[in-house]
Parts: sequence; structure tokens; C-alpha cells
Amino acid sequence: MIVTEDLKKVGRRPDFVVLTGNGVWELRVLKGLERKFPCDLILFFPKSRLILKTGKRVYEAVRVYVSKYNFCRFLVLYDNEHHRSFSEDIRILNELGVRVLHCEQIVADRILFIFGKLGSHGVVIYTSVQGFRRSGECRGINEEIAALIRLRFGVSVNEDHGAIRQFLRSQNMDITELVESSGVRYLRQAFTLYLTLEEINQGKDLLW
Amino acid sequence: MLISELNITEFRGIRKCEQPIKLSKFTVLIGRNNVGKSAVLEALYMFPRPKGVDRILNREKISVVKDILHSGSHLAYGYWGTIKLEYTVNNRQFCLTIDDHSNVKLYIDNEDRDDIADKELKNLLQTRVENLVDLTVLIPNNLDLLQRFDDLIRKESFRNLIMKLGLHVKAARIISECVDDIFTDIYLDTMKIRKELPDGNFFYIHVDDLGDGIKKAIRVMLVVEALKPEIILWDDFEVSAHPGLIEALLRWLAEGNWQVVLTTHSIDVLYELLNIKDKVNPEDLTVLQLAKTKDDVLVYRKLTADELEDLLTANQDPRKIADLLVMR
Repeated sequence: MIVTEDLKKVGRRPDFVVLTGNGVWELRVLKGLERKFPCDLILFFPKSRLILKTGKRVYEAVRVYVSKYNFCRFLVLYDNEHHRSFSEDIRILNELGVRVLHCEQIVADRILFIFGKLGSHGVVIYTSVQGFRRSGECRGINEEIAALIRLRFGVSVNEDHGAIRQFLRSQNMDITELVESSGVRYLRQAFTLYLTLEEINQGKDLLW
Repeated sequence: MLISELNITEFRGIRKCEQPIKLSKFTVLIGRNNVGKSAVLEALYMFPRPKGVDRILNREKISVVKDILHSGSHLAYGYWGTIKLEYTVNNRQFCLTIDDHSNVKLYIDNEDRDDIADKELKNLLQTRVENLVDLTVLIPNNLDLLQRFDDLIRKESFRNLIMKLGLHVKAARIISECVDDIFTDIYLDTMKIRKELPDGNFFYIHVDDLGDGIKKAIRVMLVVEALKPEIILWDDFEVSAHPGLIEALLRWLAEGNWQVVLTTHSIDVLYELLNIKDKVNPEDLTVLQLAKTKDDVLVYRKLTADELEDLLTANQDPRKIADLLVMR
């Protein structure tokens, strides 16, 4: 799997565009997961330098991608704090003009698969909800990174950015290296994103 | 007057356009380096009289593009052949051809109208400008070149016009809104700006001793507001500008009665554009993402202000997405 911010570097159209309503750590986690999936899947993450916490409003980009670039496959990431139920996601997509023909919760309240139509285009969306808690300071992917640290090092790290950064510095590694060097068993336990990518990887032959 | 479409054939790095480029009242061009953004501005700049003498740079417009902005080589694609630039204005087709020897021909609705008088041409274009060379103003990304604006500003008649319109005060006021200093007005003879201190004292600073972004903004505002061109073409708009200055300049541009086409590589400009949505009609504000195929065909997609907002809300960078247009 290749995760790229710049399509020139891979030289072909991607398989999925990553839409994120979260912070900046998703890309680093995704980069760390690249080698865990030895396949030719390309995830395009054209992340803006200014990251907005927009949650489910990320779906609004689906319409632009389909109408302007004829691009129809998405991996949507947002934090649990924005999530009440997936029926809300379906409603938003309906409002955007996407007729949902099939949806399936791969993992209850964590991973959703959607197949729908926008005009004549078939749209495929995998939605992955990061984090476990719905309130508090350190929701989202921070919690998952802290969980990986706990599983791997047996150390309980506070879930805020500063504490995680400090711990990783003490280990002389960054988030990408942490993820890259962790075993599949821990990654599956810690990251919803890992389970989502497994699902995409398994289903990709059926999609194309 | 509005140039609503532009088609380019064999001009600089562009062999042809996949489809004519649709322009709006306020158009922002984005795309990779060398994709052809500046070439689009230069094609617009030369309309309708490439041999007209630019009042700011005091050279024929074709010479400005060829000799000042570039190496002096023929401007045709591959340095050889005939350039064809087609413009749609008021539902009429205007076409300029430029051959190897810089001979220019003008066609209107497919008829050779090289001999058309300025008065008739102005009527066809329905323009307010007195002199057709003032129809377009090109603001280059080269800061040294901007110093040449001073030659025009110092001319007595032009200076009097600026003073009469109060532009020396207006420019100082707009600049004051986005810096920590209080500037009150600009002395045009010496190009010095009056800086006021909190205790009521004041002194004068030469414009060239200010920051690069401010130098540029002052010159552009003075000259452009006095010339009142139909079309402002601004290359690398964001150069040396803090987001505060970017927003102030975008607001100023959006409030004017002119067509604006600017190029940028800056995500700040795209975010600030959303802040001026209220200043322009939503259909009048568009972002064109340019990309080029391997055989130099210019491809583009138009994003409306709402589509731009949808992408930015989803943390998607429109500058990077343009590659999807040419990737197979």
C-alpha cells in the first residue's frame, strides 16, 4: 500500500481519497501502516496545511470529487466525538444527493461500508471512527496511539499530544516509526484504521 | 467588459487548451510550477493590442512579455510557429495571431480586422478605458520590476490624478489596517509615507524601506486605482504578503469595478478567498485548477466558491487534487 500526498510521486490515479475531519496525526499513522499491507493500493491524502476539526462535514467533499474529477472511492476518517450513529452519516449523504444502495457496519459503530449512487456514478465509502470516548480532552486517534503504547511498552501514557510526544521522544521515535515497528496483533487492537484497511484490502478485488 | 473565455494555441509552454478557459469576474489560477498560469496572464495582458505601449513599463506589451519577463526568444511553443490567442468578449470572438517575426494580426468574428480603429474597437469591447493599452494591467511577481511603477507615479499628470482621487490617503489607510504602524498618507514626489506615532509626532519613511509586501501593495493600489483598467492580472499574488495583507488586498480587489485574474501557490489565499465571498456574487468567484498533460495540453477544472469551501472543510488541498485531471 502507498499513502501519498503527491500523486506525481506515484504516477497514477489513486484507489481511495482520504477525507479527514480530524487533526494531523492520521497521515502519520497511515504512513506507518503502509508496509503492513504489501499490495498496490494507493491512498491519496491531499491534506491541507491548515487542519480544521470538521467531523462529518468532510462528506461535503464527496460531491466535488465525483462531479469535478470523476473520482468515487473514499476513506473517511473522523473522531468519535463527532459520532452519534451511522444513520447520521447516511442522512448527510442523502442530503448531498448520494442514494445509498447498500450499507454495512463492518464493526458496530466503528467502521461503516457504503455503496451508493451519485448521479450515474457508483460511490464507495469506508468510514472509520477514531477513538473510544465521546467527550473529554483527548478523544480520537490520540487515544488509539496511547493504547498502542500501552500494549507495546506496558506504559500508561496520558492521551494528550504533549504526553504522547514526550514519550515517543524518550524512545527516540516518531508516530510513523512507532506504528511501523509494531506487530499486527497490537495494531489490530489499537487502531480502527487498521481494521478498516484490512477490510478495504480484502474487498478491493470485488470493487474494481 | 469581461473576457469570458480564453483559448491558447502554441503560446509559451502551452501547445493547446483541452477546452477554452472560462473566466469569471474574480478568477484565481492554481496549479503546479510550469503548468502555464503566468502564460494565461500574459495572453490576457496582450489583449487587444500586443503592440500597444504599456504605460507602466514603457514598452510594447509584447516586448514586456518577451524581453522583460522572459529571455527574448520567440514566445511560440517550442520557439517556432504562430501563436493563436482567442478571446470571447461580449459574445464576440477576438483572435490575435503572432508570427515568428512578432507580426500581430487581429481577427474579430473570424474577419481580418487588423486595421480597426481604436474608437470602433472600444465600442465593440464596451470598455470605459480611454486608452486601449490601459485595458489590462499586469502585476509581475518580480519585486524589482514593481519599482518601475514609480516612474508613472512621479509623472505630474498621473500624480495629480492620484491626489485628486485621494488614493495616496486610501492606500495608506488600507495598509495601516494590516500592519502595526499607523500610516496616514503618501508623498508621491519622493515616494515617502507618513508614519504617525501615538504621541502625535510623525515622520516620513521611504516606501522602499518598508517590507516587501507593503512596497508592492502601495505601488499596485496607487497605479491600478488611477488607471482603472478593465482587467487586473496579478502573478504570484501572495509573494511577501502576510495573510492579513492577503485578505486586505483581496477585499480591495473584490470591491473594484474590474475583472481580476490572479495566480497563487498559497493555501492562505484560498482560505482568505472564503472571507471575501460576501463581497462578490458567488458565481463571480472561481478557482481554476490547471494541469498539463505530458504533451503540453492545458487541462482545467473550475471550482465555485462553495466547492472550494467544501474541499477546504474536508481538509483537502485543492492544489494537490489538480493532478487527478491528468492521471490515468
